[in-house]
Amino acid sequence: MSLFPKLQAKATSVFDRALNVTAFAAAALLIFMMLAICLEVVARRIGYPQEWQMEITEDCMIFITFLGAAWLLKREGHVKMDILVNALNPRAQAWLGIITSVIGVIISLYLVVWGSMTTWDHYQRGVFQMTPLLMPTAPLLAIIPIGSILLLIQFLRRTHGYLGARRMALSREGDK
Amino acid sequence: MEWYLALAIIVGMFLVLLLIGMPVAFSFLFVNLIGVVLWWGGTAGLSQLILSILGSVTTFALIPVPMFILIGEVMFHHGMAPRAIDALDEWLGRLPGRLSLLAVGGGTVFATLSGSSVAGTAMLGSVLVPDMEKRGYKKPMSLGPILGSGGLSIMIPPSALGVLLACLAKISVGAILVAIIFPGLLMAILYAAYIIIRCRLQPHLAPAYEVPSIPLAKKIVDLARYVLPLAVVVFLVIGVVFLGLATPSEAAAMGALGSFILAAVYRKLNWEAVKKSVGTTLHITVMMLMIFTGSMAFSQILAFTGATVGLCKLATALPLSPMMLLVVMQVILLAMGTFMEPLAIMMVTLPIYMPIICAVGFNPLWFGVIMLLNMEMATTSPPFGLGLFAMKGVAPPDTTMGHIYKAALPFLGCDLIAMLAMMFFPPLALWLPSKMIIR
Repeated sequence: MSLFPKLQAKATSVFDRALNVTAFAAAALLIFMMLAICLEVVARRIGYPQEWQMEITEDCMIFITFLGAAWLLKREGHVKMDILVNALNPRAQAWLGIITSVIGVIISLYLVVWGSMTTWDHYQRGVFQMTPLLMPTAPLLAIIPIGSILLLIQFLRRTHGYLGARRMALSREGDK
Repeated sequence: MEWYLALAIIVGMFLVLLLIGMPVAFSFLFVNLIGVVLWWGGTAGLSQLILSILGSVTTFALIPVPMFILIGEVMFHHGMAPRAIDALDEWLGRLPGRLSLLAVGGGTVFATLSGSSVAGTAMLGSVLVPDMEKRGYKKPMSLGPILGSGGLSIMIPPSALGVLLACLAKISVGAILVAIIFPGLLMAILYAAYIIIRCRLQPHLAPAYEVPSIPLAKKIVDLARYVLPLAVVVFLVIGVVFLGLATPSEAAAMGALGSFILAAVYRKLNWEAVKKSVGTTLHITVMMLMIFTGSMAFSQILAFTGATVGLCKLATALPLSPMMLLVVMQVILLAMGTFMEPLAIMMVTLPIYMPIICAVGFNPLWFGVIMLLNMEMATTSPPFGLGLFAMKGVAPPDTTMGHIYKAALPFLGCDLIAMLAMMFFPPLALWLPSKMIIR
């Protein structure tokens, strides 16, 4: 095996592991949310209401979304309408796959670039949420570009996969 | 730019993206991105779009969505839901169409767990239909109940789609969860009545087969052991909201913890099942939340282009009575359901529908319940409902679309009766929420 395919295989395995780690973190946040909310209900009943749980658990939702987005894309789990696509031949399906993946790359690029700029702007200006904990908004916004970098890479992998599918469809048509 | 042109661009672009197989979540984000560039002052609006993504999902009211899914998944992967269905099965005895009745019950559970009635239809169609046909059940009694059960799943709490609708329509999550109880029960009764009556009239559709006799004592013990604890969890989730003891988000989290505790009590709690439950919950939650990230900006762009106000003025100026207007709105929803998922339909239509509903003086909660029922009817409506095609994909090879349409229609009829009952007798949906102790 030459050096490039070896590197590619290594990078793929590292990236897949990164996706699993982010998904694990998102799952841990789900369980944390459940426990934190139950704790607050009990604390309130016994006369020790907490102020943090509502705010922190709402904030968990954005982390769960962006930590899990690329992992879900790898599993092709984002819901889509495939009735028309499934009715097409493999070459047309591959073309549509390439088009949708490139649109995904554009969206992810936007989320990475503008997400980073907005995060930096909020960090510099010291913007915080108008809530009891007065939490800064920059750490919350930061998960959007961080999660979107993984999304961008996954959309690029998807594009590459569909380019391969297109080549295979073409060669099959050639054989016929 | 005129509002109708802007609306045509937004909706047209969205539909094209859906048709070429773009995931719904990214279709919304892309349409928002183009909308911001065209109508929100170019690049200046792009930072605003990032903030709207954050604002769309960091909402306490949305927390019941992952928690409800978690309750279902824990009950399913720890074997509690299947055992409860088996325990109920013991009570059906030699009732006509017992497998069809069980399919309605099982379908409701599975559709709730899968978070999508279309996915639930596909799963149950592949698992149950071959077994039912082996026992001599004909298509109307094998395909129909599974298609119908999808509708029931969102009208019986806990309903994740109900929470999403409440968040999008800015109505009380607790109120909508309580409001769907009576309409949901009415639908269940209508389905059961239809199955039993039709099987009595045409016994060949669901031939009776030998069922082992089970002693009454065992039936009672199994009911108490496997069904009542699950029912207690579900009733606790809704009960504490109804009594004003907790918010829907708190009740949902307690229900999720309660289902883990129940699994431990049954000695079924294990790492593999926990991993599967949490993994599937994460899958469905991320899918739904990612679609939701586009919700705030989408409705703001529609409002900014003048489309919301324009359509509202147009609708109220039409020479139609408010009730006729409601019917027209429901027909549009039914048509959209033939090619779109319920959450996507709600995100496109609610920013337009809610101002119209308020302008004509309808109760938003009442409208929300009717719309929720319509969402599921839409996915099983001939000729193009997505659930029908999902069934075609997994049903035995001799099944034609004609068989599926014929099987779905009676259950759609039951849904329609429930919808008409709600339209002409609003207390069916509104009486129970009016008795809630509001927190």
